[in-house]
Parts: sequence; C-alpha cells; structure tokens
Amino acid sequence: MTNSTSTQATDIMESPLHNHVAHTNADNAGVVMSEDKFRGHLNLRGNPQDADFMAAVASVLSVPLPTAPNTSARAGDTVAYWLCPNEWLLIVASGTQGQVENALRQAVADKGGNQHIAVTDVSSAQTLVNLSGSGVEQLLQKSTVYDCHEANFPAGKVVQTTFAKTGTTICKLADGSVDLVIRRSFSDYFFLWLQDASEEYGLHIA
Amino acid sequence: MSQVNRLATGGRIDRSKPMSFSFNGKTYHGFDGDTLASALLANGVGIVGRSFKYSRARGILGHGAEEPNALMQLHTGNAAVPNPRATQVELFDGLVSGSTNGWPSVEFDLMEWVGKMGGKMMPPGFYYKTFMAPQKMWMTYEKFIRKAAGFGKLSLAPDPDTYDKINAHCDVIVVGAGPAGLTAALEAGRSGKRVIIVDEQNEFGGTLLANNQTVDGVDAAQWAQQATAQLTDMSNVVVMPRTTAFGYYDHNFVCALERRTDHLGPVSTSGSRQRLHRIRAHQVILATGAIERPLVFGNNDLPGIMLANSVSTYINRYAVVPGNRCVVMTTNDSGYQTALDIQAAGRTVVAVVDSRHAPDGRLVQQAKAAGIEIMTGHGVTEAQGSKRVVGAIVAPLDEAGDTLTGPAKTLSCDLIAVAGGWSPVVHLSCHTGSRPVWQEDIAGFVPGPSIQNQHLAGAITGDYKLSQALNAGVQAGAAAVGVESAHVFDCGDESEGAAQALYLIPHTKPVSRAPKQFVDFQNDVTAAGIELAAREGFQSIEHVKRYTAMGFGTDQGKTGNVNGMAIVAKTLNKSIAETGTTIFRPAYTPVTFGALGGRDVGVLLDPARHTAMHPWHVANGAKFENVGQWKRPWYFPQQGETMQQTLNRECLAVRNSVGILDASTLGKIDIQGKDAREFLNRVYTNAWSKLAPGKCRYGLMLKEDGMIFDDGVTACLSDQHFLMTTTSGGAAAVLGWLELWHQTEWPELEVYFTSVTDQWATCSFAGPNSRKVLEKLCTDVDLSAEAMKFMDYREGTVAGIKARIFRISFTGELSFEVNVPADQGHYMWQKLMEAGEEFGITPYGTESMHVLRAEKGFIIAGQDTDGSMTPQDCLMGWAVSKTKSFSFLGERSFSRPDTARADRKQLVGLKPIDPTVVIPEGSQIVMDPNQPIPMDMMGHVTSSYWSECLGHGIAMGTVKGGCDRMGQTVYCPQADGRVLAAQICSPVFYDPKGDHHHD
Repeated sequence: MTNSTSTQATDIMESPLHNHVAHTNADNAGVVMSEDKFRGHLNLRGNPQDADFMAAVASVLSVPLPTAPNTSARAGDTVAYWLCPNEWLLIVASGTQGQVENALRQAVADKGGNQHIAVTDVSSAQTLVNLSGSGVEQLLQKSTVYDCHEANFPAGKVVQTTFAKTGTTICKLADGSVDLVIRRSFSDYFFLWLQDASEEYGLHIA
Repeated sequence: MSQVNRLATGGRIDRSKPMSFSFNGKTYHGFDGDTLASALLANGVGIVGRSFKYSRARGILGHGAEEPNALMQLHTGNAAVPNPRATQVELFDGLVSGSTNGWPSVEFDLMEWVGKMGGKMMPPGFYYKTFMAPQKMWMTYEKFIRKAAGFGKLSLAPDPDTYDKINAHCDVIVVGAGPAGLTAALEAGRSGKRVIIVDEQNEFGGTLLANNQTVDGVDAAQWAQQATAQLTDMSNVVVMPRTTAFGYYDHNFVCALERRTDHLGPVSTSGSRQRLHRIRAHQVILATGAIERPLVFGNNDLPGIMLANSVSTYINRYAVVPGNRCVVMTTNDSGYQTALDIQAAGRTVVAVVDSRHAPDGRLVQQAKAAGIEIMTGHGVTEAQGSKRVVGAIVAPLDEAGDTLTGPAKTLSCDLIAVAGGWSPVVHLSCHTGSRPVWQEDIAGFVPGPSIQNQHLAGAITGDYKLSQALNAGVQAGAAAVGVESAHVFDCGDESEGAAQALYLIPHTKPVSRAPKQFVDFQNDVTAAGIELAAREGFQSIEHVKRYTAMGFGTDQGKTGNVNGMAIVAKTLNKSIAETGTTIFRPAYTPVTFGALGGRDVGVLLDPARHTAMHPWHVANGAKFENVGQWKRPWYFPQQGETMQQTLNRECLAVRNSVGILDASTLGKIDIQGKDAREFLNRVYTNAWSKLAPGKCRYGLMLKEDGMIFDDGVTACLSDQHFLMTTTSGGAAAVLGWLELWHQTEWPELEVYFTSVTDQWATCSFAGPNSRKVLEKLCTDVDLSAEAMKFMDYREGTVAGIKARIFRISFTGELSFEVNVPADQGHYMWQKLMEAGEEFGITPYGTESMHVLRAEKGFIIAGQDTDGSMTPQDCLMGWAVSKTKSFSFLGERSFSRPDTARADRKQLVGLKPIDPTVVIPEGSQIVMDPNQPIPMDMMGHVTSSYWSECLGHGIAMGTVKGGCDRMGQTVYCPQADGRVLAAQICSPVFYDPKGDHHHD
C-alpha cells in the first residue's frame, strides 16, 4: 500500500497541543513543558522470536528493538519503546515516518521469512511532550499512580500508565526529564491538568 | 477575659506571639502553639457543647483525636467547617469558633430540660419505639428529631478552597511520630531506604512533648526535636506533620490527609488547603499509641471531668492547668503522674482516689513523699454539679471493685482527672480486616494477626513505658528494612505497680436507677442503656453497637468502646475476650469530601476528548453533545433559531444541496495480516472473503448471545489490510473484544489490530452537491458515479493532502468521507467549507445526523438496540451470512428457542396518526389504550424526530411481533394523560429504493 510520504506542509498542520488554552509563563518555573511536534510515530507489531524480523528492523533503525519489558532503545533521532512482547512504538524524525514504514516493510520482505508484521502510522494520533524541572517529580506523583522515583524508574525505562484520567506512555531520559506520549483527543484535557497541577511549581511552555 | 488557667512559664507555646480568637461570640486570647482546646481551657471556658441526645452540658475531656465532646463550628460563610475537634484545631489569630449545638446557647439550653425530664424515658431505640405509629408520620417526626440532634453545619455555598491528591511510594511508612515511631523511622531511615513518617499533630514527638522523663540524657521533648531534625536531614526520609493516616487498605495502601493551611487561616491563600496522600508501602509500621480510658460513674460527663493524661498534657505542653482543686481517680500508676504535675503547677490535689487497695509503684511513693493525700481502695461513684463539677462522691470499694463497702463522703473539687487504663489505637490495623484480640495483662485490645507486611511498635501493643516504646520502635524499624539493631534505650522507667481492670464504678443505686453513667459521650450511650440492650436480647457486641449507637459517629468509640464491652460482658456473665469487640472502619478521623475529590472537579472531573476540528466548531457556535468522553457538535444554531429550526435547516441542506459533519470520533481500527479476512468473517455476521481492495462493507458485530454489540463500515485497503470503523462510544470495547478473541481463542490467525481513531480526522459531507464539492479539491481520483460507486474506497489527494476517500452514506444521500491525518484535519475542514460555499455547504451536528439516518431507518447501536436485539429483530437478516465456513460469533445463538421465536420485539417504523406529533422517545407501546392498568406492554419507542423533509413526525420502536403487524395502529400513553396513536410501517421513511445514495 502507499503511505503518507507527502512532504509535511507544517504551516497547515496543527499538532495535538496546538489549541491549548492561554498560558502565561511563570518565572523560575519548576515545570518546563515542550512539545516535540510532528515527530514520526509508528506502531510496529512483529514476533521478537523471529530473528529475520529483528534483524530487518535493526538494519532500518540502526538499533535493535528492545525486548526486555518496559525498556527503550535509542539511535540518533530514533527511539523505540517496548510496549508489549510483540509491539513497539517507534518515534522517528519528523516527516520520515513514510520512508521508515516503507523501509521496514521492504527489509522484512527482503529477509524472505514470515511476513507477519504490522506497521501503522500514528504520527497524527499522538504527540511527544517533554517535562523537565525541579517540580516534575511531584507533578508526576499528582498525575500518575506509577512510582516514578529514580529507584524504580531509571533512565531509559518506559511505562504505559495513566496521567490523571488519560493514558500515557512515559520514558525517563538521561537528563532526568521525562518524555510523555499523549493521545491527540485527550491533549486539551492533558494540558488543563498539567496547568492546574503545576501551578504551585510554576509552568513554562518552551 | 484573662487566661486564668495559664501558667507563667513552661509549655511549648510561644508567649511572644499572642493571638486573639472568638468562641460563641466572645473574644479570648491564647498563644502560638495552642490548640483551640488548650486556649479555651486557659481562659476557663468550661462548657463547649451540648450532648447529642440529652443536651447535657459538656466540656473538654481529652487533648487529641479521642475528644468526643468538643466538636466545633469553625469559620464563617462559605469557609465554614463543621465538627473538627477543638483539641485538634491549631489556634491562629482571628480564629472564629463556636459550639455546634445548644439553643438558645450552650450555657442555657432548653433541650436540656427535655433531656432531664425525659432522660429516664429515653432508653436506646427511644425515637424508633416512640415515634413508630402511625408509620406514615415517621417522615414528619424525623424532620424535627433530626433538627434537634446533629452537630455542625456545612455552608451550601461553593467551597473557596482547593484540595488535591498525590501518590507516594516508599519502602517503609511509619504511622505516628511518638517515641516508637521516631526510633522506627530513624532506624529504617539509616538503611537508606525510602521512608515516610506521618503524624497528625503539628509537631513530632507525641507523648514525648508532655513527658517529664529524659531520653539519652536529654529532656524528652528536646530529644524528639533532635530526632525529628535528624529525620528531616535524611534525603530518603519524607517527614509529614499535620498528616493523619486515616485509612489502611489491602496491599499496604495507606491514605493520609495532610492539612496544609488549616493552621494559618480559614481559607488557604496559596495552594491547596488539604492534600490526600495515597501511599503504597512495602512495609507499614503502626506506632499509633494508646488512648486513655475514662471510668464510668454517675454524672461522669460533667465539664471539669477529664482524662488524667490529658490534664498532664495541658500542663506540660500548653502551660494550662484546667482546674484549681483536683481529684484524681485512678486504677493504675499513671494517675499519680498527673497528681504530681498538678501539684508542680501550683494547684491543689484534693486526693488521689485509687481503686487498688495496696498500690506501691515508684510514682505512688513519689506522690506520698510529695504529701499528696491518697485514698486507696476507693472509687468516685458520682460527680456533683450542674454546669461544672463541684464535688466528687467517694466511697470504699472491695478488692474486685465490684461492691461498695462503706459510707461515702464528698470531696469538694472543680476538676476530676480520670485514669482508667489505656486502649491501644487499633483502628488502622482493623481496616485491613484484622480483628483485635483482648490482652488480659494490659486490660486492652491489641491488633490481631495481620496478613499484611505490617509491624507494630510502642503503646499499640501495650508497651506503655517510654523505654519499651523506644526500643520497640528500633526493632520494628530494623525489621522493616531487614537489618538487626542492638540499639537499646534506658530511660530509667519507674517500676510500675499492676493496674486494676476496672470500668464501671459501682453506685449505691443499681445502674438503672443511678445518675447517668456515660460510656460513649458523643452518642450519649449510658451504662444503663447498654445493660438494657443486653437484657432486651442484644447479645452480640455488633448488635449492641447498632442498638445503642455506641462507637458510631466521628468518635468511633475511641474512649468508650472498651468500657461498653466490659459492661456487656459483665451483664452477660462473659469475659471481655468472649464478648469481643466491634471493629473500626476508615476514616480514623473525619476527612473532607474536598480532599477525596481532589482536583477531579469542574472541567477536570472527566476528560473531554476533542477532534482536530473542535476549535472551528467552537468558533462557529456549535452546541455540543457528550458521546462517550467526546464533545461532538450537536447542532449549529444561527442567531435567533430554535433548536428545531436549526435541525430543519441542517436536514434540508443535506437533502437539497450539501451538509458537512465531523465524523472523526468514530472508532477506527487498523487491521493487518494475511488472516485479516478470516478474522473479520468470524467477528462480523456477514462475509468478507470476497471484498475486493477499494471496497467497503457494513458489518454487524454480535456478542456470543447473538445480540447486536456494535456496527460499522470496514474498508479493504489492500488484500491484507483493512480499516474497521466502530461507533464513537464503542471503540475501546470493540478493540478489546477483537484482542480478546485473537489472544485467547484464535492466536493462530496472523493478524494485528491497532487503534487509529486519533490518527484520522474525518469530514463527512452529504447531499446531491457533495460530489461537486469534492471534485473542486480532488483531481487525481475519478469521482464519477460510474468510476467510484457507492461503498467504494480510493486514495487520492484532496486540497493537496494525501487522503482516504470513502463513498459511504449514513444519510441516504450521495455522500463522501474524506480522512486525512488529524494534524491536517482542521485545514481540510476549512478547505471543504470554502469549496462548498457556492453550494451553501451547511455544517450539521449529531442531532441532524440522527434525524437523517432515522428517515432512512438506519439503526444506532445502543439507541435502537439495547443488548437484547438480534439482527433479525432489527430486520437486518440481510446482513447475516449463512454460508461461512467457520461460523461467526453469535450465530449459534440464533437457533436458541428464545432467539428464534416469532413474537420477539422487532424494530419497526412508527408513523404518528397526527402528522404534527413527535412521540417522546422511551414511550411505551400498547395495542389497546383502554385496557385497565397494568396494560400489556408491547414495546417502546427508541428513536423519534420531526422530519422537515417529510413534513411529519417519524419514529422507530420495538414492537412484539412487529413485522407481522404492518399497518396496525399502536398507542403510546403519556404521563400527562394524552394517548398518541401511530401506525406500524417500514422504518425506511425516505427514498425506500435507495436511489439517492446510489446516484
């Protein structure tokens, strides 16, 4: 099938957080939010026991898919989140999702083994948000039941959990900040909650 | 008024920070560090409220969570807080407080006379027994009874404060920061593990703050401060004062309420007033201490009768002596400490009355040496006074404390300090289902065995000596983190004499005739009431509780329960262990609803899901409808239009030119794999083997019982790639359903499902001009009727954007759906509006969509179906394939006799006989409007609208055997007496041949 390889005319595109309500940045904000807009998001399904599949994907991404639960793998602009034993979220450079999707299909086909995979473009369905700052740990405590303390949630770990009353995938980064994947239709709610919960720490939208 | 009971020195108050406050309209003064209770006592205020049932004058009994009487009404206006205990309210300058009851005032209360005169005649169950007839009058009686009873009042105005919730995780939580809690936290904290320690008071230390002993050579209170400082310095330890662990649940889940600003003013000036901490701990250490018990004797509820330990606390911690001439009534050595404290404060100890015949502990010796009169083998049988105690009637007791052995005499006093032994605070341990067990040597209930990772330390286990508590804390803290500790404290605790287990002090008159001997002060439960309950046959302690109300309310039996159980046991000739105890539920002390709600209020109560085009809808005046969590445009009124006028305009635009609908909320599931077709064959009723790429098909999904579950159109994108759509509200359930069958039943099928609901924005535009609109924007797809037929799917470029184009229709008109990645959905919508302008393109909402589809007889799963409708019931047998090789979910149920019978309710059209009538949805359908009630219900109306294009009302409804009743007249009786008649007809009211959507 054909894929959404059209060049992205970002002037006509609106990211999920495009419409967030008016906000005045706080001085010395304890929470800094930045949206990494229009990244390519691909949902990948396949059998991790299939060496051909794993090798094909690694050749395209330049990094092997993570197979340990709740881990991630990173190579340049590409990151792969383990979601379940046969499902990954690939986040790739903005606008390249079509090429990556095609390359993945081609690489798997070239290996000639079992062709049972699924690649689905979900770039418009969700967005990547980074939260950093001294208030983030408490903000997460207010927002998710998952234990995001360093002892339980080291850099590179990925969890799928709730953020207030919406779902999210959270990844801890090496610099201590967190990346959150937020669904488009819940993003206005996400922002309202974020704004409310971070009020005591100060919120800055970068 | 001056602080007549305030000591010049000592205590933990800050005399450099005076504060003024009001109580029942009068202004008083106190200091920073006071509680409202200590400040009231400092000012000599005796009566703080009136009792629940008998309206008796009541004073302060305790100094903390155990206080049953001093429930306050705090603050004014919308900041009003009902029922906090004065003993737990920190004083601040300007605090406005009052009693929660008493009319016209607590000092002179008219209800008291009712209580006095009727007192003997108000046994347990009084209200139910007295006002039982006539039964229908109970509601009237109840109104007045409720008004006379009860405590504080809530403001009905919105709460000006905010509240929030936070999740916390730790290796060890320590509940209580008294001596045992502090050493437990220190020991656990030193291991480097994550530790949380909570305490309900403003300052850590618990009993150490009012203790005269030394720990490690320093004053006890000072040691507590040092220990707290050490904990605060540990980065792995979270120190939370003013935080009450009020509930302890399965899997070591502890809920704690932090009062963040209650001590600063009536309304928070920054941040949330209270925060609910939801703590998940690997190990829980309960160091919740013990509560002193009062003793049960005549008029033991008079103001001026207090717990001995509380009197000591007021003296040592708050520099307040709540009386001038004190009688101490004790059954153990701790009362002597209070006597020594009173004497040291310069007030008179009239006597220590000790029920024991030969007490000889160190404290007893000290009291003797200090010249305090000691009356051994005696008990206070009755207190004298009306609004304040003025005397104690004292009489000799036998060794067992059962019988009076000689004449009484009266001691003049204004304070009776009562030391009746201790009750471990077992409340939290009970929350997890553990039943407390009676421990004879300490005459108290201690926590029973627990299945949680739980440790106990200190007075909660009956270790009442300071050294014992400190050492138990060390051991619990070490055990919780899996280490061993040899640290031992020695505070040189005095050897104590054995305590006597005494609860009810006998009176010269039998219990039923004696002056009221109170057991539960908050609920006005007396010894006589409990005896009566037992005599009336309530033998289980749980029944006694419910009959007498003992242990109910915010008090939860903290001071009264053990005394009550002892009286039940004695009446029934059983031991306390045999009688057993009731158990306690959360919350330990009351929790505001605000904190339980947290920030899940207002717009944050439930997420509102928005489509990419939402801002356009808002800007263009849409009224919204909730569909699941989605906000969907309901209709787009123009200025001056009624809703019906809007719907008429929107529907006619679709029928005559073109209308546009945001259909992005429909669930969309991407299905890939070589077995995708076979999977669809199994989950849908119809066949999918031959659906060619570029084609769409409507499918019905059933549950195993053969009933319709969801429906939608699925497109074949390529041979192994399908896009399924679901109802807006059913998307998550359908995806779960597919995964369930794939993962548990058919894992051999090679197919994957991925939700793409949020990925695609869907613009659906319908009407005879819809093709013309699309042709202006799309040039790389042949959109002619011959090239792109009804139910065709194409990929193409629309307004420069790669799009998926479906020619499908839910309106019965020529109709297209353009799907684009949602990032570009808003843009696409605007482009379609521009292109459609020359045709008067009209945005329409869900209500017009409902009318348009009903004109065509299309069902809405969940509105026209209710989980009890088969495809045949909906006249949709055409969507069921009987030739599939594998069968499909629900098929087998079609042959069940009940599913196959002919007189099932079937979905039919209903045309009102009066064309101007729109039958209300939900109306019941009967065949004979004159049949007496109960009438035979034949079905009900599921959908009903005004059809502007047809010029009459239309409806769909279920009718028993409806298919065979075409042309018959049915009746819909209304609540207002009207009976609306309708004729059964085909549900397809408009364009029955389907010419329009095939154009």
